[in-house]
Amino acid sequence: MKESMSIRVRVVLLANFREIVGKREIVEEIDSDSTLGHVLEKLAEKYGRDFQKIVDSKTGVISSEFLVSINGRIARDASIKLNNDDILMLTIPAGGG
Amino acid sequence: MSLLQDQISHFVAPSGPAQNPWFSEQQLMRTMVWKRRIAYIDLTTGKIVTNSIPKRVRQLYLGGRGIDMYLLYNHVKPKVDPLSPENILFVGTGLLCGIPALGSGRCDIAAKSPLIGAVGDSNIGGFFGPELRLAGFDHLVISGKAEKPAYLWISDGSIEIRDADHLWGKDTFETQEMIRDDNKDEEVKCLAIGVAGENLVRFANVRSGMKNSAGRTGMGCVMGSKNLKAIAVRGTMDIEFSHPDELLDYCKEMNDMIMSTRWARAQSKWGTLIIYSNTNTTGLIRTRNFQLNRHEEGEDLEPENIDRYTIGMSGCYGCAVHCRHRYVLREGPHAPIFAEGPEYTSLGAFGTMVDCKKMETVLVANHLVNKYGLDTLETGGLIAWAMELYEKGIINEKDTAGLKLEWGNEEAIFDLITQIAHREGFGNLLADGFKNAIAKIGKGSDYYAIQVKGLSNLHSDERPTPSFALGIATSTRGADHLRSRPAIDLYGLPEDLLEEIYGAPVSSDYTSYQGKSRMVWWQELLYAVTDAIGVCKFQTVFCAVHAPNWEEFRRLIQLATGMGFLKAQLMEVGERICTIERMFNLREGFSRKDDALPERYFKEPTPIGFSVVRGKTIDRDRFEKMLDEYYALHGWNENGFPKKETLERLGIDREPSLMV
Repeated sequence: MKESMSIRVRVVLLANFREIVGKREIVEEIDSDSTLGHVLEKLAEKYGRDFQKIVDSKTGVISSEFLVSINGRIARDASIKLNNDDILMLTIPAGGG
Repeated sequence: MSLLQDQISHFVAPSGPAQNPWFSEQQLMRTMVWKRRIAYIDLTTGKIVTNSIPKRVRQLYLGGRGIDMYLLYNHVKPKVDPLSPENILFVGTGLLCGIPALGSGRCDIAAKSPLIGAVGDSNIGGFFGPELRLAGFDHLVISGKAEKPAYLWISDGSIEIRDADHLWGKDTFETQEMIRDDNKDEEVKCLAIGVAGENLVRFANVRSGMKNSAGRTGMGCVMGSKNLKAIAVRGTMDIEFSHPDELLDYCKEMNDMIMSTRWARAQSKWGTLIIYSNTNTTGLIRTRNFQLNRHEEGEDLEPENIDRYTIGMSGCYGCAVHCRHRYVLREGPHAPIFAEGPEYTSLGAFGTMVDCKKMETVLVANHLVNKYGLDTLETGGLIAWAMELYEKGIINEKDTAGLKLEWGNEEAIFDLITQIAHREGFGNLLADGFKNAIAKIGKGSDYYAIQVKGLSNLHSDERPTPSFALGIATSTRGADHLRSRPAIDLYGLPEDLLEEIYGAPVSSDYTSYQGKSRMVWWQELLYAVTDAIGVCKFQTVFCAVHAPNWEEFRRLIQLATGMGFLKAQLMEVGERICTIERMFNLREGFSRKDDALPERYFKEPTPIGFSVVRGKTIDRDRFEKMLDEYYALHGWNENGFPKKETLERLGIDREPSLMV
């Protein structure tokens, strides 16, 4: 019988997310077959508020009101599978100068 | 014929196509735009002439940067010395300046740049623009040179040239306060220069209020060269709108829409500093001049850490966002300081690029450059470059007259800012900008200069982002993010949405080259029109994909002025502005060779950051291909010269030009 392994991902929290959690970075331990959606769901359960709005409930994709990256690559699809040591960044998109 | 007469006669009968079908004469007469005034002020003779702004110029260039660029191209003679009386300073309010939305207080200042020798142009927010309109003027054309220090006093339709002996030597804050005191009116709004402008520092800026600056390309230096310390305005006249009730309703709708978004609310809370958290975490920030692409120990520079100094947020005219911190430093060797800012740009200029790790350093430096009237970005860029030269042994303590230009040496940075403003010591060499400093230092120092066309780049590292790289290379005023930067390229938006916006396939991957020339071209047209109508870029597609752009601009113009434009016609105005700027630069000797990046972008891979941005350089062949595509989109040939048919289509084929 195949045993489910766990992996660890770092989650960098910026802007609103940092304000809600009160930390800049947390580590999440998840099942090895977890997707981005699973982690976001877990964070939504734990912290509520904006975390619950990251995934657009109508479309199932990451809302354009937020910016989520995995190792720097922007994610709009919550079904992306995560790997050990991945770094997620959750923030608000912002431009300016 | 004198220069002034030449200007007037030309302006009364502008060249270009005789017929433009956009508006009937009857439609135009119904608008109030044609009543707006332009003033020609000759500081040498003291002669002042006012006139209306021709309708056709309005149609083709709108206002603000658009009309300023038309005037710059047509009235500044080729190859003039930018510091001579023959250079002309243009001040122009945006077409929508004064509406209660989108930060519409913006005003454009232009001249031939004494820093880069090309288009000089800088846009300023705050409250000066609307006050100038309330005083009865939209545009000012300032030629010649005053015999001694002077300032312009503009009030309710009248203009005087006044003595400014008592203001000379004063900083930008004192100058504005003294003018308000002289006129016993707290509501007077000023454009003022500090000692940097007086001393002809080539990147001296023009300041207004506590925070606003027309920072780039040395417009404060041009004012200094004309002995013009300030332009002060007070107006109690009316600003007329074609459809005031509908305009107010629509402005409220715009403001409500913007403030309902998370990006605007984030800017309200953290200002533009919010960008730093995102870009630095990813690895898109140039650090130690250009050695690193992330400020590893730069957490104190994150926006939350300004809270301990902030006493509130403030904003510009017509803005609901209020993205500007007002701060106080009560302790420390530089206290007390009561100031506004810093923007994201200053965070890089006096934080990452010079490897300072404390927010307080940035706050002090921000205050110093504002007080002296220096462009924050150019000052920080030059100091960072000097620090790398010092580290590499290309310059030493003997060259710097004892300044230890070691990374993060904040006292050396403060001293050097003061030296630059007063043209003292090593600062005097930097005060002439990159081009002159490179010529004097030599020894391969040019390789380390992160500049394009002589203008410093900000602290973004564009090696992982080809669209940003193309933008800084092609900007008509040198390396700059406010000419065409598609900030939304960093958002990984769905490709069908990108195609809908840009009209052709564009990759959603910010490290890709595919479609990025189109993205830059489109944003460039949008920002040209944004600057011409005088609203804030940060409330456009610069910040968010659904933020106001062509359709909203079209509607606002119609309600405010009665002028009807189609989206395609507004885009054509953007093309026209970009192309006439291009023509100006070509006439001054710039060409494709100047639409370039520093060599380091091609040779040195990004060393750190998230895996997606690590190890990136700009691919030279792909960059050249993007440049070809960008020229083609503009209707320019492979050397970057506008084609005959493009000039005809845009109605600038008969403008005075050595090219045509």
